[in-house]
Amino acid sequence: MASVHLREISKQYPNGYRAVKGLNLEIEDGEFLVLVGPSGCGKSTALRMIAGLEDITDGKLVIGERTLNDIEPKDRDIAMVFQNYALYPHMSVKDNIGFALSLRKVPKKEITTRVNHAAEILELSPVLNRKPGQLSGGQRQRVAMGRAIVREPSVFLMDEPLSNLDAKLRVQMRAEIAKIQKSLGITTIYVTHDQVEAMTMADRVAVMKGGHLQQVGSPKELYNSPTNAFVGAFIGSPSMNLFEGTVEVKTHETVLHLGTTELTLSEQTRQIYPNINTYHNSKIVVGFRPEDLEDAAFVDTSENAQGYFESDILLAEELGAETMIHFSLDATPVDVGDPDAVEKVGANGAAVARVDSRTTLTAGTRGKIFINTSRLHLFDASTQQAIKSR
Amino acid sequence: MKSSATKLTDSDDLMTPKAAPVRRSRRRASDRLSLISMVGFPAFLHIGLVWIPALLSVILSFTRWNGIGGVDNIEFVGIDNYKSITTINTEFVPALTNNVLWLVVLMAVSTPLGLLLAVLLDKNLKGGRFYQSALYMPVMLSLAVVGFIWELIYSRETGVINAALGSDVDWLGNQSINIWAILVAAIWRHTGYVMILYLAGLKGVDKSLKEAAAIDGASSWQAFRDVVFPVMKPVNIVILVITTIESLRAFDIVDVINGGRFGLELISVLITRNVGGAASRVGYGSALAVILMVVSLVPIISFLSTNLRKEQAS
Repeated sequence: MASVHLREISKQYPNGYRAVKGLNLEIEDGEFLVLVGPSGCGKSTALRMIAGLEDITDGKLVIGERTLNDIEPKDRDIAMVFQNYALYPHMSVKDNIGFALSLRKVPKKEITTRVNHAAEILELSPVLNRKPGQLSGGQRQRVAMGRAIVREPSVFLMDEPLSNLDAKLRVQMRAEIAKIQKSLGITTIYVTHDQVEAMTMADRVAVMKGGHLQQVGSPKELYNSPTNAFVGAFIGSPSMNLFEGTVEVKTHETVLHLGTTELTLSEQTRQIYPNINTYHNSKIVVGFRPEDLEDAAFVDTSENAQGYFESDILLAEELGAETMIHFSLDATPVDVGDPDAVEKVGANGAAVARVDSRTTLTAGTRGKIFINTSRLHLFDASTQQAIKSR
Repeated sequence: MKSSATKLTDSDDLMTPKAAPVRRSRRRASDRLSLISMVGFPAFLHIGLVWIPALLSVILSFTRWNGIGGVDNIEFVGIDNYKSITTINTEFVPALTNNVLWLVVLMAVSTPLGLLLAVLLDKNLKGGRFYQSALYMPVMLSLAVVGFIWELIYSRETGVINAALGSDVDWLGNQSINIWAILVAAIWRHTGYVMILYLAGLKGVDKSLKEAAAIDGASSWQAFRDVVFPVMKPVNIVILVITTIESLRAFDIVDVINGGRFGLELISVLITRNVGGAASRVGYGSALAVILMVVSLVPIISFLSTNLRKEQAS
């Protein structure tokens, strides 16, 4: 087990494309760090540089006390789980798991013991003599895990290991991987584009975009205090609603104009953003999460006299425990540059609210949506960085 | 009376069980047409042009016929042709030996050499495309052209080799060395073929397998030996089959050099000499063809059946 230090790590390909730009990360011994970001953000490249599968153009990679920039993958004492598992198709499960040990000339008896132990942990004992082609997707994923854990390496690297599984199995394996990592206590760097995976598994999450590290912190920190609009939108599902707004500082209150809607900032919000008054008459980016909105019918307005939208309801998606209400908003939506965003929240002036499932709001009607203005996220319009808070 | 079908809209029509049989029968008709055109026609050609002539060759191998006149002139002689080939024909044993030698040498030299070149080219060397084209070029030449080129190289008086070595060796005339000289030419041609097949195989190997092996602790050689090569098993089978066929049907190159005589005898030459030309011994030539067919099929069938059995067992 070891800590991992990435110091100003960069990757530039021969064609000049810079995939990773000055990445700094300190990963503690035994920590589970998730690298998350949209396609092409450089997360997999960063992981492959740690593995030694890509050369490091600039910067320094240190695992434990050793600088590993020019060390071969086999000498880095790391194990990796690949997105497609990369199981050797001609070898049995047993041989797949034990291959690394046999290359290291571990005695056969010990290989058998360690393979059997790994198989027990991963419930693979009944299929040890099968070939990968005879296994289900979940079993293959387990074999890939087995191949990694049997080595007892200093660091686990996992490159989107659950992306080939169906949704149900993914949830199950997510929990299993987290459990195994906790029990083994091996430093783990896990790459995914799925923010739910990142939030549920990680001790800390590092969000990347365009080769740059955007923010690193605990899942709660990222959710509650995103450093910029991109992180705000990327973390959380459905994504944070982001619209352009204008600040108006009045004698006794500060008001945000979101299109024709006026939101009076709560005392709490003004305390969180003490600099907000410097944005008087300026544009800012206003973010509010779907879960901080509610159907007015279920909110005591006298106690939550904060703000509301009176809007056309465009779509109501009933999910059983809750309902997603898509409603129109005449403010300008903000694009944070997420290349994977198929349906941008805020597109065509629509916002999303996660409301009580008892709601009677339906598409085509007009409804009243309350917003908890204590939970607003405010960003500078030009930089999209969070306005300095307390 | 209005039928229920007339009440249905287009979209209903697709969903109802009543509409389904119509669509199924249409699909069956189009399937039949596809089957006939894509399977039936090629199968018909294959049977007509390969299997029936092969079967007729087997039958003719037990006869004496000069190929002239009707089938009434065909005389059944039992296994006389085979007896004659193995006891009287002095060229048969050298021809069979040369064919087997051809097979062994191509397997032992061209296959590993082609693999080595493919591995080197797969490393994306500078100028790799040029080397690839240069090494593959001999494959595009017919064996007759290959024979002609190597005649220029081996010629006793004007050949490149004797000029370079200052020697006076009769590379193509000396019966103890001419088969080896020809085999060098055959290797030169066949290696390019093997190389391109292995290169395609190497390109098809999942890159992450090599990476996983590297992380597991394998050196380049161990990764190749334990992971890449076994994964290319289908390519190995194709190469075995192709090399066997190439070795046993070799004809043009020796025919160009000296007509397949004086140390360059091959079964294919004996067949051509007996079936065609003045001899017109169709039955005798057919017996030689059957022997060649058996020699070709034995290694291929035994290899494939062993592999299939292994796969079924696993």
